[in-house]
Amino acid sequence: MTTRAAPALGVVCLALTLMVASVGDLRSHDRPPLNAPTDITLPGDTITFSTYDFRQSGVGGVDWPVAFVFTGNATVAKVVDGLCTQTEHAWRYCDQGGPMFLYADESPTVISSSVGSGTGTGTGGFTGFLSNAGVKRFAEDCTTNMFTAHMRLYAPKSTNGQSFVSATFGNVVIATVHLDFQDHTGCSARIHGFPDVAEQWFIEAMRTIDGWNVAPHAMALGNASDEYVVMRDLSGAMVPHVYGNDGMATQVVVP
Amino acid sequence: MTPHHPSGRRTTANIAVAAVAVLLGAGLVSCTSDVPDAVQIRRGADSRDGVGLRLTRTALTTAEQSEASTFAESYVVELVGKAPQLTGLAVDSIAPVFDEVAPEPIGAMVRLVVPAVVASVQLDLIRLHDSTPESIPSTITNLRALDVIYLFVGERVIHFGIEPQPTDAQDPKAATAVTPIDPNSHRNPAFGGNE
Repeated sequence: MTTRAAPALGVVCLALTLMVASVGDLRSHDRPPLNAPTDITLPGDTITFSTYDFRQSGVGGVDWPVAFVFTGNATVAKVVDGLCTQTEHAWRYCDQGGPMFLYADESPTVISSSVGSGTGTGTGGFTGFLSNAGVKRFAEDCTTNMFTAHMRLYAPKSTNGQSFVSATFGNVVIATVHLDFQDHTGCSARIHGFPDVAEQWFIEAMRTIDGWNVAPHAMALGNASDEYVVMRDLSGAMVPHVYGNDGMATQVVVP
Repeated sequence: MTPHHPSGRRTTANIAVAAVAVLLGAGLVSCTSDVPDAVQIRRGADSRDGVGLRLTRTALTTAEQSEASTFAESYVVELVGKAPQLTGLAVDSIAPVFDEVAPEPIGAMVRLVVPAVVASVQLDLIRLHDSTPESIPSTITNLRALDVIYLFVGERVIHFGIEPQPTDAQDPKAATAVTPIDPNSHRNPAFGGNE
């Protein structure tokens, strides 16, 4: 690959990225073995975000794929409250996990939201890595262990609270999900991942929230991959991280 | 792009679009190494594969796949021999396993499924601490599937545990659960905390 050819190839790759994102029918048989995070912009919008979050405040090791796009009047606080206090599902998500990082780049121009009942005006100026610890269930203490689902919610602070402000989608929050199997006190084995299973568990929880409109697997983000496992060395414990997802994010319109 | 994708409507046009997507996806994967930063798919400088690892090969070879299959078949026989409740246990899938250093797969994860939910069974689950697999005898309820991670070097099992199911959330009381027989003997801060 010559240096002079690289910019043209880069443009082609960017175009391919966007075209893949525009295809709404990617299924498991289309998945590549691994899928590097891309920066994606939702259709008709200016907000750009990475399709995976990262294990550090910078590029490098990825954590989990984006699986939810909250729109309408979403804020991080509303989603946190919905999953802890508003859901009528047996599993409520009121605990906090450890932080990870999502890259985001808002348009540098001022955006006025005019979609749905969104009323805010954001500065649209954020560029960089957002950090969030998310919500989960976490009650084990050397007793019976089950998988729990964990959602990290990303958005910059805006005049509406913590959300992106989009001219197309209103107030937007981006979320990654995965499952955890881990006991507080280390009495069990430990494994993380299975993002598509986590997505389904959160869909079940959010379907019980009054007024929330859940559209499962509605957005193709181009972040699908075949299943693979990374053994990560976490303080001496070699912990399996199980990747693999369908690349179809769920859209949730929050009133 | 249409944000809402109607389910259950797979037209010829959709199939054609999906086929194009496959080609585009392949092109995307193949051109992620030399594009300039300005329009670059973001990736770490130390990453050859874009996910923060250093991989030069991302799939199992035929020989590795065969080795994993052979291992899985023998492991199933061993498990059913110890726990007859698992009769009918079968290999569902095999996936590559990497670590954060090696450029190629170091092992395989085998997914095992039972033909019907097993109400209760005692199994020696396994976790890896430093370089040593540790057995955790446990009672498992509502078992549907298991994951086994097998390392090619040393032919060792380094993880053996339950597999979560998408349907678990439909009836949480029926979700798979694990109760260690002697949990306090496994207390270890390396496996504790809260990620």
